[in-house]
Amino acid sequence: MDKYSAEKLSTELLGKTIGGWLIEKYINHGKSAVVFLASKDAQRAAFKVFDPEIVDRYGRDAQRKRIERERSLIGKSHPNLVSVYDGGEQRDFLFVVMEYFDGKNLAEVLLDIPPSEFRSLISQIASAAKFLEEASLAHRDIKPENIGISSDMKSAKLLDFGVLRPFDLSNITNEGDQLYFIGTLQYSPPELLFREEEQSIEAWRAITFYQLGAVLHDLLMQKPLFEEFRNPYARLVRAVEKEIPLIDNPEADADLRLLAQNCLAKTPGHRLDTVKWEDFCQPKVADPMEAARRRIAQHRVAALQSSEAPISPGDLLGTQIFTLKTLIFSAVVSTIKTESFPRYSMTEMNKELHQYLLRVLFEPSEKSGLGCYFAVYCQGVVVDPTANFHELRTWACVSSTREAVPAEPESSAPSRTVKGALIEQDIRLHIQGCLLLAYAGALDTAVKGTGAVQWLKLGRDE
Amino acid sequence: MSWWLDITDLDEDQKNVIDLPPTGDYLFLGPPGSGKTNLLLIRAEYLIRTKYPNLFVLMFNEPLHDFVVRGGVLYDVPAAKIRKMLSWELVLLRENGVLLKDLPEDDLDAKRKALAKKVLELLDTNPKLENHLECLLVDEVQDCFPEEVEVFFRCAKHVCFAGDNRQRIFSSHSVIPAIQERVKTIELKTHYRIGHEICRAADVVGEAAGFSSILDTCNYNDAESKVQFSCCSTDEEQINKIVEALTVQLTAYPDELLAVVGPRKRDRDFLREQLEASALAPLILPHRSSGSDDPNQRIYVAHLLEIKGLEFRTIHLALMQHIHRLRENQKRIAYTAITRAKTTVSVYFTGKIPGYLEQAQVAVEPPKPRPPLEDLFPKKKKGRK
Repeated sequence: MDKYSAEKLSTELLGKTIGGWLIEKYINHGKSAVVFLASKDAQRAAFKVFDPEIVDRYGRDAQRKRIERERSLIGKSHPNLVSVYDGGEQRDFLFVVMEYFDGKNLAEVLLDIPPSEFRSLISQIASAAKFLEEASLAHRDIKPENIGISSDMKSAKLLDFGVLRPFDLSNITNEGDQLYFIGTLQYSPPELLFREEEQSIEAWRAITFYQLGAVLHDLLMQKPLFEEFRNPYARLVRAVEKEIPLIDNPEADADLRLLAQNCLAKTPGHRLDTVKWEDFCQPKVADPMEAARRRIAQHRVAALQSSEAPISPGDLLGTQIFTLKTLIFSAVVSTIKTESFPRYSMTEMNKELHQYLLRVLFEPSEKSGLGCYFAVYCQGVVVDPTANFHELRTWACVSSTREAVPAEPESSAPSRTVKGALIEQDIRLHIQGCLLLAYAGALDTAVKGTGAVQWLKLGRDE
Repeated sequence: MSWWLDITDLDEDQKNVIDLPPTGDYLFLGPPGSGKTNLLLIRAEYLIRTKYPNLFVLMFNEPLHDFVVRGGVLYDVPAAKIRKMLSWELVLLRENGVLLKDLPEDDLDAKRKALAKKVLELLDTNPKLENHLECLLVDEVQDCFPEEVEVFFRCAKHVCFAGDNRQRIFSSHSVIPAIQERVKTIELKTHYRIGHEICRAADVVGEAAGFSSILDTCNYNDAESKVQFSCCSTDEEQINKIVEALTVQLTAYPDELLAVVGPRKRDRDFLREQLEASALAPLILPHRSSGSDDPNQRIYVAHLLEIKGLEFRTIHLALMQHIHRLRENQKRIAYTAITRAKTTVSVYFTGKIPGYLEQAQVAVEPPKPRPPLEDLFPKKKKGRK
């Protein structure tokens, strides 16, 4: 709604009592509603009145359902979500009454938040979003402006309950609408932009993950997502559709960086494949060497990306599989070296253009107490070259004879997988972890019979 | 040379060599960097300490001899027991009164064959020289002529050879199969000296020459290795790039040998002349010496046939546009040259290199974007509108 309509509504409502709430003061307005400060029995609250015009445009029944949904949250509370006190309908007005948050939002304080708080803040927001999902609701408008931040910068609260309905580009009729939309569009995944989203819990979750990723992007990069594409509007639309945000702050933790990158995948399926709710609440792994390596790796990635001329998808695949192969190989070799693995031999396989498999076969070694052969298979796949979306999969097995160790892993064998916009650091960590788990597993395993192959479990995962 | 100082450094194959009885004839066959030369010296020391001190270790040529003698002290093998193959033959002939006036001095192959023939004639006329040594231990045996191999078998009660068919740089015909029929072969599979990326490039060149992979069995455990190709517009540009890179490498790898190598003698002479005119002049080793008493002299300038058996931290293969002139041996020579480096191989050329090197370049460099289709068609002549 525009400023004029908001003012008109304010003049009409200030000083009145609706649903027992006294409308005291105008706070702000959004696309579809005006928010006032209101009170009832000494309780202060944010009172949101929906724009009657919009209600008419989309149908009163639909809006009633929406208010019912929000009312379903009354009495249920979550520390990182504003509480809903009340909601209903009086005369022409549909309204919802919520906890009043008197503080700054994330967009206002973005640059003041200490990096040590990033992990905790994003996990708080995610936990609120998950709470909503469990109540069969989806916020769909998670963005820095809708996140309240406490004055000590330590806690976050998800404000508001999203847009009246999924916004639609065809509804944008004037400049005022456009300006308002920019804020939301900037943080919307492509499927919302094109109204291609499905109505399922997974589809909603994919939207939520994208928006959480966008918020995490802003924290890590210290700037709003697609800031440089805000004008003209068509550029922003294109960016939402095509642009892959580069998250390369050398100070950022590798896991958070990868999480944000994976959340911001253009395809909802990619997001759901690579992101799990738990990813938002992982503890920080502290290792200064890791941090240094990460910085070096990310600088390299940044340098590469900035110097790259646009290339065709075929070339992109060629370049990416080469890089993936080089990174896998070097991660394997450097792990073997630093962890003093026993003697080995390697076999490389390029079965298809987008796939690379490296088998490393280790020999029994008295010195290390290794009584059998063990092999680790690392497979890299370029899933989507334009999205920089890769999959890295690792298997391991033991056997009493060299000949019994297969050239390729069996299809039913357990594996460990990491997917997404992987950078050197992700690959290194994954391979390091898998090699160590496989080696420890091989040392622990009593090999049965001659020539049998036993597959090892590499920790969690499939 | 990367010497082992401790038995726990040895792998199973190498331990098998150490465990061999003092008698018997053996061939240690293995890829570059698998420890053949070291094992040969360890065996020499073992024989000397048991009761077979009457032996010689034969090195193929001067730089290699020099190299091993400088390192050989670590194993207590007396320098006098380590000989260059040709000088050992010459001394043997002289000691037995054979006149050596009519040797073909300007053709090395002919000279070697003539010398071997003379030794065999001497053995025919002087039967007490048959098996007069307990053992001859010969390195780089793949480059020996059949006559020379015959000399070894006849002069010593036992022989011990080290070699690798892949590193054959002289004759196109291998003596290895014939040797294997007469001695026990001990195969060394794993190797440790050459970085993985270098193995990858070597494998491409080796594949063209019919060799099996060395990347598979590489257990290199040092700094990450690198192979790079520089296409230059002039030979002077090659020199400038080499000088620039060496300046950094001299600091990065203190106490290590760095090599600048051209395909032919005249290329070597050109490189030496150019480098001696640069700021690096005082750091260049004397002609044909792979070591010096001056620790600052660490740059070895040579042609491709002078680096067999040696090893360098980094190697600059310059003027490689001329390698095709080595004709039918060029792939094996290029292979041997690449596998001399532990950490970095840089290939420089003005114009073109042969296809097998281009293929190696493709294997180690990220793919280049495909040229636009229209670029693949003949261009219109300039000036025509």
